[in-house]
Amino acid sequence: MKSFPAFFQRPALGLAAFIATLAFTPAALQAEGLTILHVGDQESWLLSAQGNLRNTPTSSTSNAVASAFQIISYYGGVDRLAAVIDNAETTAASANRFVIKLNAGDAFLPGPRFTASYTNLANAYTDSGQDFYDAIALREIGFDAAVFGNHEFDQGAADAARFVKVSETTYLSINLNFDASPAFAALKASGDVASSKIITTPGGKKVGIIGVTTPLLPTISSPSPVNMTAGFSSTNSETQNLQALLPFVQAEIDRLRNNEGVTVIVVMSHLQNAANERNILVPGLNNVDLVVSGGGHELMTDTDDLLINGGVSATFNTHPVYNNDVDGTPTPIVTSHFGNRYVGEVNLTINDTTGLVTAIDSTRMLRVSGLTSTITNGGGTSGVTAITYNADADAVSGNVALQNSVITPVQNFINDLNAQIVGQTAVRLNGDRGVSAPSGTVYSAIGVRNAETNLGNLVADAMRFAGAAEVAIQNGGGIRTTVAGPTSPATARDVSVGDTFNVLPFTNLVKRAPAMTAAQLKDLLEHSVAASTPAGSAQGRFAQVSGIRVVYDTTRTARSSSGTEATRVGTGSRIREVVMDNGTVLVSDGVVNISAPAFSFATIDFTAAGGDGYPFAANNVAFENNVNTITYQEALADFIATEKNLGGLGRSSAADGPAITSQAYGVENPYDRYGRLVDLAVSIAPVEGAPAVGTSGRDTLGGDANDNTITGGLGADVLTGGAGGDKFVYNSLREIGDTITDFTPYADKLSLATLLTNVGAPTGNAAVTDGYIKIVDTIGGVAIQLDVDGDAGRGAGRTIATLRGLTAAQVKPARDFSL
Amino acid sequence: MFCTLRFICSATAAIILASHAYSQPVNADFGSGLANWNPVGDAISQSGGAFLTTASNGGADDTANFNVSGTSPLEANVALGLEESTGLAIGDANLGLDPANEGSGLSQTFSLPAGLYELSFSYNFFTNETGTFDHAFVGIDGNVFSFADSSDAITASTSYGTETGLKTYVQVFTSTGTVKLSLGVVDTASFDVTSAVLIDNVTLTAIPEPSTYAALVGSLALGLVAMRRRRSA
Repeated sequence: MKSFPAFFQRPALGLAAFIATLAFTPAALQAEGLTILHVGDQESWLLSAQGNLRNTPTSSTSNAVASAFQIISYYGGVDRLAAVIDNAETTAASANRFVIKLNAGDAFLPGPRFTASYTNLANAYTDSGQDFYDAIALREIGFDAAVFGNHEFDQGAADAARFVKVSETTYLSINLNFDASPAFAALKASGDVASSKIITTPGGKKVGIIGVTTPLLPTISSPSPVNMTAGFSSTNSETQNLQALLPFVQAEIDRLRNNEGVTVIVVMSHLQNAANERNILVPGLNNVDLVVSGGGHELMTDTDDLLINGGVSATFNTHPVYNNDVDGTPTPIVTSHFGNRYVGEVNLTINDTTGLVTAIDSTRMLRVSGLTSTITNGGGTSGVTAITYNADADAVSGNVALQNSVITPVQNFINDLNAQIVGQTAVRLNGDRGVSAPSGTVYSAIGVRNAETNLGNLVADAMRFAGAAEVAIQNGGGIRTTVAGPTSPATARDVSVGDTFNVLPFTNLVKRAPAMTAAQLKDLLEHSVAASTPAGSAQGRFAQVSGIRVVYDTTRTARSSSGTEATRVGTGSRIREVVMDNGTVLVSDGVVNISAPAFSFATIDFTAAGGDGYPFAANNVAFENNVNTITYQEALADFIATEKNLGGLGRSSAADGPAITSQAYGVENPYDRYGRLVDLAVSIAPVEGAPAVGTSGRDTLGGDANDNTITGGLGADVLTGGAGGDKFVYNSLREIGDTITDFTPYADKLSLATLLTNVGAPTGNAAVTDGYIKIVDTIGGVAIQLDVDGDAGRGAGRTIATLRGLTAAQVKPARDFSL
Repeated sequence: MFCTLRFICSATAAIILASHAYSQPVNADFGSGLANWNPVGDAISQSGGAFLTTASNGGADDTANFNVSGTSPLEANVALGLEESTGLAIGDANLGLDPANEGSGLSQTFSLPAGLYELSFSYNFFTNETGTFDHAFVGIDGNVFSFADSSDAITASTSYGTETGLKTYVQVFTSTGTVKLSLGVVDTASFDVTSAVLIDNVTLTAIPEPSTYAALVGSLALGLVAMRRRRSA
């Protein structure tokens, strides 16, 4: 709780009003207490702050290490949020305070938990039409007003209108055209949507609530035909549109105060980032008593507020934050994080005569905890240490009505979903932690915290795919367990949604930085390996990577570890080479290539915010604010399930083989010089093995465990390179039509330059850009084709070699071909 | 003429002969070898028909030499390659899973009065392939169809690995005056391992307007119009 001096005064109407207010304050009975409870960005986190799990694990025999931090599933949950709100209302009522409940928008978010409504509630509302679990919760809680966020329109304007109707909540926005659709026009006529709402206190004082929606709405959601008004122009920048909005908001403030007798103004704005309220909205308005912000997910807490276990740390260490309005009056801004995790409380005093706010008495950020009893997790298995989580004194058991009407059916829906198969794997996916050797340079165990692993690669690839980025990293500490492989090598094992939750249990969201530099990435990678050792020390920060190959040396000087790592750029010299999949050299021999172009980058919000000590802030890495609603688990499940022609791993038929193949995600080997992550202190220099040369007929030809040059020669050959970095050589057109069974990206190469020259095609990058070399998905693999007349000619590409088990998206010419 | 459905074929032919003057391509039965045809690649007259292979001269494609003419097949999917040399456009012979690599063919251009016609010929497709789908094609006025591929060759063969046995292909088309007929066989997926096709008795038959024979065969002829497929010998 933050308490304010008894005579803290906020002169909402300038000096005259201030004096008028003072004149009446000595009479305590002439003051009316007002409590504003606010939540925002609920985003369909109905079950818990974990997302799809609730109150798990509860078994004393489960593995505490693998499922650590599932404790967060005891926090959040919309039934418990309702109970926290209910308790706060009871407390306020007992102090004779009037309560207004506000919702700062994004009350739902499309995804599995929202889909449950479409599946189960299509005819469930009283008019036999569509209801929503999120709306059931809004009805139960009974918000006095909500503001349109962006996600309300993610399913289109018709569903947005339907949600408003069944939520039975007044939805506000001053900058949306509610006449643009019949459904919205009807809601406007019935008063269910409006620019503002007036709430009258028991003392007869009028509180005006004004809604403001982000002008980014048309670009980040699907509001059409509902369009933005109040000065909006699609050619304006976000800032220009916010500035254009200000006179319209002010006019509504003035209308309410001057014409409607309103004496308390709350602006509830969903502007995607509290910085917009602080830096643009508040400085451009006056006579506002409180701003309730939504869309930014910021956590504002005072030092005595209790945080949820396993959640993120606070963005602001004070609640509220202030900025000066047009008149120079400090104006409070509050926001309440996201996902049904916290309820914000602001206690105000209203002068009984003037109706003006005389003071903010106190604020609290109430956490939503369901940890009503002490939980001991693990310990039932030999060698597993139990972890005990003590009960929270502020824990609630939750609203029973919502448990029956929302929690149970949504949980059942999600449990069914967890059982769904997203794809198959041909290999065991290593999510072990990794164990360092007592001495020497041979790891005791290889895992995600000390070496490249196939599961690490898969998760990082999923991150890169979800973020539409060129490079991605995933901290090893975020990968929690292994996915078992098939029982026999020739078969494949199903991978379920539940498996992806087991691997990636946290509520980490994908974050994207549109433009990262080579220097920034090198410092981040230096941090990744700064505590790693040649013996294989397991470090949660150790980064699994996608889109790059990184060669490092754990015997060299590590990034300095004194001071706060997150606050400054480091000086380590462990990162020796970094090369992007497109061939761009970012670091060579430890030196940053300062002329390398910037590239897009993705990671999870945990590391983006400095988790595991990652120095993103010190490097001034700018992340996008608005693309942060997909969790890394969803990213992984989506990546496995998305069809391969769309860049994912999904196969359309059994004949096409499993999604996760041994060729793309083979078993890691930190002791060779190949792969995405190579520690020079551990890996052994390559050894050239005997070359293999085929006959003029159809050969089945293989290399050994070393590096082999394999020339199949004439005929359709079946080639297997084996371990090591192998080179497959093509010299003439008549040699094409081969199958390569184990082509391994980052290790093997197709040598095509002589072939290209012999058919009169250009060599080098032009061979690809002009369409002489084509990479085409085919059943069971990817066909590397030669089109002797290029894109310019009519002739079709002929398959030089089919690389089994790979997709077109997994083959990168600059990395995998010699052209 | 080979025809299992002898009633249909003979009845149709009888009506047509009675009601229309029509022409055939010259030397359509290959009675005079490959005279009047334009052969490219490895193409010879054999067994009273035309025999085309995908075998390179010199015999590198198989364990034995299957080239019959001393001339290698022409490369496909290139300018002045197999397709353009048989009256087609580059890429027209890409009809299977994989594009054509090389092949042999023959073509002839002749004139027919405008109208609906039935093309038929007999063939036997031979192959040494076991996996990939080399195929034989027919092109008529630029419309190209595969009429046999190596997956159809399931009968043991004396000279090749397998063959389809003797079959008849029937195709209905519309002439606008001048007709260009192309026949060929192509290697796909790789250049090695040979396939071949024997073609004989190329026949063109005019199909009269429905009113002239409707009373006699009626719906039978409509069935023929819809037909565009291989038929058992």
